[in-house]
Amino acid sequence: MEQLKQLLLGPELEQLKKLEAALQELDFQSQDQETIVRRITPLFERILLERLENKDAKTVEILSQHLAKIIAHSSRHNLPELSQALQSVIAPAISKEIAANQNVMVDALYPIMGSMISKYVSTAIKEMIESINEKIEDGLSFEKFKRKIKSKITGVSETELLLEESSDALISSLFIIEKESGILIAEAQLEDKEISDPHMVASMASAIKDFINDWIQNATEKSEVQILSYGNATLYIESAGSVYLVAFLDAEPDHEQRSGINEFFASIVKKYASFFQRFNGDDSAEEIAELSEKMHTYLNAQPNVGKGKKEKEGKNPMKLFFWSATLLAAGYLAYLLNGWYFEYSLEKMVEAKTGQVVHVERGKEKLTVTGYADSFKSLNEVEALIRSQSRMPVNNHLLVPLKQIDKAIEKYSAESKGPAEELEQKVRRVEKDLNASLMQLQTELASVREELQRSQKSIAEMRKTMSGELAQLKSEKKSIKRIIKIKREIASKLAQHLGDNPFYRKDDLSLDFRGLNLFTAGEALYNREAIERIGRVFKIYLSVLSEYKEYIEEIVILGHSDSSGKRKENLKLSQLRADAVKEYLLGQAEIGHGQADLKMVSKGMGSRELVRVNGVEDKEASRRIQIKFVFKENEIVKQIQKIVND
Amino acid sequence: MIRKKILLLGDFNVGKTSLIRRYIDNTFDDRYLTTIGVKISKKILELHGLECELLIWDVEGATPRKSIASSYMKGASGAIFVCDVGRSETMESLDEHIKTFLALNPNAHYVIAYNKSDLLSVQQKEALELSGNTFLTSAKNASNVEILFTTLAKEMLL
Repeated sequence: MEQLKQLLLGPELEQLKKLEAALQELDFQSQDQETIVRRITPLFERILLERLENKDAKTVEILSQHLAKIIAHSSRHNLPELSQALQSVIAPAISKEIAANQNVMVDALYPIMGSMISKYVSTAIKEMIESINEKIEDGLSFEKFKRKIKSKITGVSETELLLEESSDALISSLFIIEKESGILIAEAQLEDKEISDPHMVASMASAIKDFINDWIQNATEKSEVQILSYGNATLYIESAGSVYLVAFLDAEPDHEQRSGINEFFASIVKKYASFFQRFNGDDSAEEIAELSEKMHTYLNAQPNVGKGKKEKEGKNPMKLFFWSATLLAAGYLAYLLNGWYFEYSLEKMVEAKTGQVVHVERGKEKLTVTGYADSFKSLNEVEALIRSQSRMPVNNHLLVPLKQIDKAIEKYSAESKGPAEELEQKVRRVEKDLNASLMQLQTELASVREELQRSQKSIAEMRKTMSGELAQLKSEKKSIKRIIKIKREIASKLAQHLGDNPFYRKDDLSLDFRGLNLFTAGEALYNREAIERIGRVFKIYLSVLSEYKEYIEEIVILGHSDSSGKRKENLKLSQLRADAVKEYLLGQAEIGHGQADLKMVSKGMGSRELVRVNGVEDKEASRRIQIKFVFKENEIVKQIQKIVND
Repeated sequence: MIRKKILLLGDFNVGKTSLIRRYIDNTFDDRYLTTIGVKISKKILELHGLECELLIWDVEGATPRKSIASSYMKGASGAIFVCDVGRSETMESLDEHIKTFLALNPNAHYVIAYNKSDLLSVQQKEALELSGNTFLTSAKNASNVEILFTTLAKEMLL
């Protein structure tokens, strides 16, 4: 049986064994983690990439939770590699941001970059100074020894003394200018060196700078003009973001001076960057006054400001002072001696002539007399005597005994009682009058104020009304313009289609069917041939108007009669004629269809508008039909004309 | 005071410099005027109590071989585009000038001057269709010059 089985199913059994062995192997692999990892790893990157590309929410959520941790970990353990990895992402992003918002980025970076550059330049200068020092050590001259001694005394290095001797160029003006518009934002100038029209100069400087930059700029390197020189005048230009600084100097600035200007400029940009960004040309901003003040302070702090002037003024100052002081002292002494002698001689003379002992003192402008007089009489005598000796005013401070004063008062009161009362009454009357006038004035003032308030109110109301009317007028003006334009177009088209037609009137764009013998006298029945002709012309007229139906209020058929008969009857007859023509025209299929959106009205005019030839009525021509059209906004035109005429 | 930079732009020899001279000096020089590079003038005006100074950049006219320097155009608050009514090609190139200007100054305002209108007959003037910001101007007889600048100033400031 086994042999038979082997003979019949030998190959299949062999395959079954292999299959079983393979299954066992697979089972082992699916349980072995290492094998699983080895198998899946090549596929993992693909799976992750696919999920990220599809923005799979779960994957993004998981990654974002761990991203910060990964970066923090990498920065602690493998910073160089992390930097390299991020550099490729951040560098293009920064480049893109700078390209998009160049001025904003430069404004932000300039204060930092500017001071870095300044430091670099300062270091370079320091090195240069050291090298010069070495060379100076080798030199031999009288000036060198003089400088050497000065250096030892003051503690300032010889090179600095050398640089000081050559001194900085003088900055006479400083401008801060908006880069793109060339509009001057702030300026400061030294006295006596002002530029007459700084705003024009700023614009011109900007144009020249732009011209040179455009001219020399190439695609690879972006640089800007920094120095413009003409004769002794030099413009030093430093740019930063949205603004640039122009310094006007009397010579080209050296590195140190440029560095100083740049540092000052950097401090300005740092403080006012946001103001520069929002500057709109208005010079009343507080920041501008503050900035100008800073710039003035900077200009006036220059060591060489007013140097020439000071030197000129400083020639032999001590000598001049000494002589002036000596002369002044001598003059004063002479004045004192002269005064003393004058006072003494006056006192002696008074004593000799009046017997009164007084003291006289000469002041700058007057003589003062002090002491005692026996009586008022003596007091007046002394004063008269002194006045006769000098042109100066006299201050009489002489004292008289009390007894004498009482006597004088009694005498004066007796003499002046009557007039004093009268005077008092007068004063009271005047005071009363004044008070009354004041009250009246106040009342008038109050009424003037009220009047003024009323006037202001009515002016405000008028202004309001006027502005409303003005707005209405403006809108109506627009409508008129539109009507005129449309009217022109219609006129042009009507002229094109009916220009040669004898019934078409170019002046008012109407049809006037005179001379057609449409009606016989006293009748409203029309002539068949004539009405058909009217129908043909009207069809063309209507076809043009239909194109502008949204602008047309209505088409008016006007019936006219001749002057025969009574006015009332003529009016009725003309209305019947207009109605008849309207009915006929509406009965025409093409016309009826064409005017579907256009309102057609008939109106009898009676014998108001007769046709006259050489002053005589042509009755046949008077019996006629006119066809016109009315614009939708004709009413506005009429109103405007009325306003204009008023 | 508020200061604004405005430009006069247009083809070569359309009368930009003459318009400025007429507006600022109120004089007109009949000689052929050639603008080189850029010429800057200024004019102070008052609009409803607001004092304003226009810094007017008269930029060299464009020619087929040379375009206008873009750096002159930057930072302008307004522009006057000028063409010569007698030369249709100068009118046709206005759109290109306006496009270039607005690309650099998207928020700026502008007006258009159809200049040398003194050379047109009344019928020719009537036949021209002018929009709200377009003026028929003549530096020779001062027609519409003042209103041209004032309209632009109002657009920029009010």
